[in-house]
Amino acid sequence: MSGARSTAAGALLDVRGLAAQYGPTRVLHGIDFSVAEGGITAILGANGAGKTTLLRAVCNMIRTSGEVRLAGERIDGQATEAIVRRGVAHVPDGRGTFMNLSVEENLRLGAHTRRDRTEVGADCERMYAHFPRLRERRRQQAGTLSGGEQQMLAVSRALMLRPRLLLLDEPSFGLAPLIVQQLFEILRVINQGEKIGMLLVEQNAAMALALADHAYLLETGRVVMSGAAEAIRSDESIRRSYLGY
Amino acid sequence: MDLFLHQILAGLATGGIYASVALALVMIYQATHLVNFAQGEMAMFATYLAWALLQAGVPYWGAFAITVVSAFVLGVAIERIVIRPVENSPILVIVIVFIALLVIFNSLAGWIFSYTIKPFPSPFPAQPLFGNSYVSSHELGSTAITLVVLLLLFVFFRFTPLGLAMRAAAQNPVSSRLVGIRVGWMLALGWGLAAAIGAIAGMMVAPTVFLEPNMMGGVLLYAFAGALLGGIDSPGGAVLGGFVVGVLENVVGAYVGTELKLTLALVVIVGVLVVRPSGMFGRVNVVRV
Repeated sequence: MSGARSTAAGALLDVRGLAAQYGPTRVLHGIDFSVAEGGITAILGANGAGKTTLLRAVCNMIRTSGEVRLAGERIDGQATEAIVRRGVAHVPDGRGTFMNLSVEENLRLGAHTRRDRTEVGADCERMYAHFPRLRERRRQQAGTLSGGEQQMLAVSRALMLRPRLLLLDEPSFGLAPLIVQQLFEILRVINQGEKIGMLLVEQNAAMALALADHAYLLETGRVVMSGAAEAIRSDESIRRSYLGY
Repeated sequence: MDLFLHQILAGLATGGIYASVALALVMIYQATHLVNFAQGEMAMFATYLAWALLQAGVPYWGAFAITVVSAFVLGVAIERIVIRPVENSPILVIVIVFIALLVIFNSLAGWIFSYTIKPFPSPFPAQPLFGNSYVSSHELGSTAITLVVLLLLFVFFRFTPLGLAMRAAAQNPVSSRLVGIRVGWMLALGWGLAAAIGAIAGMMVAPTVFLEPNMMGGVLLYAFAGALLGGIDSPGGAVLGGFVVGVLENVVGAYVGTELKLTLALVVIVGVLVVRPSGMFGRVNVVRV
């Protein structure tokens, strides 16, 4: 962990002393983490560890304190909409589908803040190429999609922003193992092809560690362990005692 | 038969007014899940503004345009200044604010313009168009204007990015913020549009009901009945419901008796709430447990 400070200097996302609370209940107790430019950082932890809260805190959806820097610039304290406009896309807990709108309208909403309207259509096509199921259902009400399809839609909608940083809240949740593998493979392709940084929150530690370059282990709102994903994956004692596989 | 046909056509003309106001109610309802009781009084106040402009010598369509724009600005201002601070308050607080707005606009109009009934001009000729004997020019003209307004709104919400963002903001504010939509401004825009639609409805109905501070009371009730009949969360349903209520009202007035006209609106409201609370086209909310 000696290299943490130096890598953080050129980081895409750098977070120091992040704390958050719901009413009087503190959920995060001053945590530090970062996402490298074009890198993937995984946040692992059990239910209730504060993973979803951490993502919400980064884009200021809840009361938060601490420093959040995106490519060196402070974004903490800014409105959620403003943070999105700086290129932070969020695949939220529960997928955030616009149930009564069509699949295509959901995608177009993802590009709401973009000025290059002419390219939005082409980007829709790229999403359909990644997820052909969405093309089949483009005119359908998004509320009628299955859980897996809605997850694909949520990822696609976030990518329509052409983000610099993608926040992913348990993308594997409720999906069949085969679909989880497909989804993670697509995330890898997008990360490598378009250099989009990702902050991935997951309970599925094995999948997340295989995708990420860096990982943090969260327990009741504190970071209890961090390091290169590869190192954590190969350390059997950590795996056994914290990750349970 | 002639009388019946005349009643139907006249009903469609007033139905168009109800449809517009019903649509304004639905727009606010979709965003707040509350019925804006002050919608009618806001429209009435805008109509007084049009009257004052006409008195000052402004030509009709000039006064019309200025009124619509002013109503839009007023609607946005009301959302920002009055509704915004109570946005997250309990329902009762917001309902009280709506009622307060109703009373304030009513008294303000009475205070500024007095409670005496004033005639309001129609922009359409006094002779029936095309030599027909069924509908007056005003009925035909106001129906046409209503239909144009409804068509413009449909195109706006269906085919423009801003319209899409407004629908998204009303449906799912949290997700909307996450794609960068300024939800607060979308709601304010909704209030502005609703107020502008109401202003047009007010100017179209004023020549028939005459201008006075309580002129929209009945209209709002019928519009509410129409919105409920069609489905309070369905814009298309509310428009259709408005037309249906307009025709029903006229037919009942002609064949059963004028005394029962307003009763009809209440019967529709209670009937819909008892038999089919989501209306003809409303979404039945099914919650997965």
